[in-house]
Amino acid sequence: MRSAMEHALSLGAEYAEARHQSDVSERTVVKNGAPEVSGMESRSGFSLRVLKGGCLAFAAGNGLDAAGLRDLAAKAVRSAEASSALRAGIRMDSSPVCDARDVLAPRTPFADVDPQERTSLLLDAHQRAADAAAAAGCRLAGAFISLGLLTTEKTVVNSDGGRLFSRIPRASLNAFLTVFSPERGAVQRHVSKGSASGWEGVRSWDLEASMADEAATLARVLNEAGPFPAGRRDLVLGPEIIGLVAHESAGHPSEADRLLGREAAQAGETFLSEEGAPRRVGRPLLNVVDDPTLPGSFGRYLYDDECVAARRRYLIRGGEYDELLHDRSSAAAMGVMSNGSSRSLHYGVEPIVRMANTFVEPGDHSLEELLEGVKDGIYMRSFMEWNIDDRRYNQRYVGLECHRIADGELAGLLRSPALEISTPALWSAVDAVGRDLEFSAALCGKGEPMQGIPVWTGGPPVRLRAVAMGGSP
Amino acid sequence: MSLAHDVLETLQRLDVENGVVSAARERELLLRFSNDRMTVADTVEATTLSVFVREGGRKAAITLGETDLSKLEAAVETMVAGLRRHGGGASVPLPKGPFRYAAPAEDPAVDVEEMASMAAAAVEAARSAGAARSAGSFKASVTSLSLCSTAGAEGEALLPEAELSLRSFSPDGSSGHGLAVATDPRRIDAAATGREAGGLARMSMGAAEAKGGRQDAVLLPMVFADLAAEAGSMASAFYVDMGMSFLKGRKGEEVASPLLQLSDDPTIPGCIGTRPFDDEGLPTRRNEIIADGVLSGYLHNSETAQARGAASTANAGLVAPRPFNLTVGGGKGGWEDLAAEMDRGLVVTNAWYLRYQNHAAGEFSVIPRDAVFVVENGELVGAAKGLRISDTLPSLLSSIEALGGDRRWVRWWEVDVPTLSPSVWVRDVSFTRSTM
Repeated sequence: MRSAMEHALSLGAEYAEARHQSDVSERTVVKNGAPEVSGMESRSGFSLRVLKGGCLAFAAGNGLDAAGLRDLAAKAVRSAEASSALRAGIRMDSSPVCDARDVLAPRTPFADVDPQERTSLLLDAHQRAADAAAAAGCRLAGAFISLGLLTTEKTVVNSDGGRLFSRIPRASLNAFLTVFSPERGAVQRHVSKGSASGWEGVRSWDLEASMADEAATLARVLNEAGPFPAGRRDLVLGPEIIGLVAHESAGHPSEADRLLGREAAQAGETFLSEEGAPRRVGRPLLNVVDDPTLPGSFGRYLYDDECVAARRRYLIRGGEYDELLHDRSSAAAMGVMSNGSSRSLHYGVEPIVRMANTFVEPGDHSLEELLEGVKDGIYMRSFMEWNIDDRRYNQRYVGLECHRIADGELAGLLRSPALEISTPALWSAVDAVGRDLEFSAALCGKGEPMQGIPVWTGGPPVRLRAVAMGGSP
Repeated sequence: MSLAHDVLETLQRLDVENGVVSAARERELLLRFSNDRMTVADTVEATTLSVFVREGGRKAAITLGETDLSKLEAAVETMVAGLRRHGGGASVPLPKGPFRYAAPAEDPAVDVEEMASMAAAAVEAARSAGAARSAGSFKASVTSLSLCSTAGAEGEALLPEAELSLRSFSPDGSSGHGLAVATDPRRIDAAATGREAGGLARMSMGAAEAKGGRQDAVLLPMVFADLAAEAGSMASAFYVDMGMSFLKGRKGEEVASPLLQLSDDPTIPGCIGTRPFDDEGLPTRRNEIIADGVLSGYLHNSETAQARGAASTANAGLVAPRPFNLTVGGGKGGWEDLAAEMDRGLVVTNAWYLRYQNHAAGEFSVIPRDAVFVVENGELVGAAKGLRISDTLPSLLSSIEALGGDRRWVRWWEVDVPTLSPSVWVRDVSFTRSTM
């Protein structure tokens, strides 16, 4: 690797970085209560990234020997030279780079858990979900439960002296549930869980109880949720939704590469780059952060793929957009220092600016205290449909488990109320922040080729005042 | 073929009931640019070997970025041993070969200097057409695929793809998207793609915040291809079984306007979705999905087919059947001709971020992005922004008023199944927007 990097430098590159990455994953899938497939994937290879004449190039391959690596370096340099007609003047900042190891040792390695035990766990979880739906007079009409166990090992060196070795295990679960009633039709739900951990992370999810609870809730929504008329209401957003809001409406707008236009044709840009875009969007009680260093988190890393140390970043501080997420090239372009946001999904894709674990910092209200202050409103605890425009300005969340709030008390379920609102209006409506922080796992999509990177999204429940809500369809 | 064959011999030595081995060698060049400048040039070359085994009522798969045969054999032996520890039931047999396949596609030459020059031409053309700046990607890849199975399938394919995707911005932030796909990057008209993006950006300058509500819309190919690809993917029997399809239980019923014809046809020569065989080695064929608005049937692999007493449609996916190369039947005229027939409505040139509230009902929303034009009395009278299509697939597909003759291939960030789509005039589309 080092010799390939040096070969790139000898060919005139002003910066070179080499990475070897191995991602070994095992997947167990249960579909409609039967084992579907068990799978193993091993993706391992080298990549080189070089800067020459202000042009950036990336080359990757697998099964390479020393000569193949030198050839990879030559290809990267040639690609950079070929880009010179549209030279961008890219450079790296002068951030300190690490010489470090980051090895997260699992308490229970994945290999210690028999594949049959994994399958049995998912089958039991399915059965508990089916029983819960049946107990409510409904049927679990479809269930797809997929458990992934991934270990990522990276070695990175760069020509600025950075050296990193990391090994991080990650467990993830994705489920899609459909609960059906002949009289009322179907409701559906995606469930995601994830952690940087060994098997102990899976155990901590208590999957059997969790799937039973999900199915029971879906059955309640199906049986009990009533229509909701459109109108302005106070709204309490639960951790699952405010976490997604933090990710979509604080995290993505704060990615410096979007602000610089690098994602303009794919994931888009950010309203923060527009003339007159508001910096202050909320009350002083509002803080949104992104923190890769949270122990056990799905988005956990201590050093990024450019060998820069990770740290907590305040995206919204005291109600104002504050720090952007940077890699070394975006930082150099904007005259600041990287804050360790450079991540790549596997060896075959370039590192780009990414979030890690994005959440609203807790305040001091209990959920009951948040509800107490609402005369006529909605508590939106989960969602199904959502999207947001490519400037991260106009967004929509359609509720799944949604409770009417009447005089501070939960007063029955509502069917699919929709919150469709601009980012400044959403944040400025927040008047109280809860204290009980919860996280959800997700894979955040960005880049070309698409990279679905592990993240947590989270927050405590928060209360919004007098927001316009769309009614049930 | 030798690597795949060598691993197949391991499966045969282990007396595996049903096994498929495929080896793929992919080389890809990708140029990304923004603000009219190159942001990165990517080169990736990788070999991947995949093995799938179905035996004793269980299925297992491994995918390895590995060419060392001894390591591959060890991985296969571990997989088969694991499968046999817990199996017990019967498995569906793989399609029995040997088969005859269409001749492999030609291998296009891919050159980074030539592609960089074409990207520069696209950017310049966009600027000449009125763009203040452009961003995008130009990629070309070739996958050499070898496949063999314990049931006697044995085939080789070359799968070339090229895609130029370019988004241009006017000084006020309005935007337009140009897209071209081909099997050979040299067949892409880079300047025309740039002119399209730049022209749409210029035409949509001064876009005004629009009101929500139901109104007619002409959905250009990038938009309707998104919907057609959703419908095509939901025809997979796997997703039907999962409750993730509005087509469940609708075979033989009207699910769309009689004007709609939707097929999957990977046998059309020279498309980026053309392929001679599916993932089980069965020769591909044209399958009608929706004919005259009626659901013809579902897409199957051998396993989903047997579960329904049907035959495979050669759409394997070893786990989930899938479409490879979708086509929507066309009509007459271009989008301007369709718009000229509308009293009042919108022209939506692009959309992204499609998400479902309920897959079984097809309830979803998707966000128009780039140029949206306002039509009054058949004339374009301005541009609009800030809207969202919040509707259902059954409703939109049933409300088709007319289809254009301007079919083009679409595959980009939002639409991952290559889809040939025209512009489509749809009645009473539900648009919503943020009201605060």
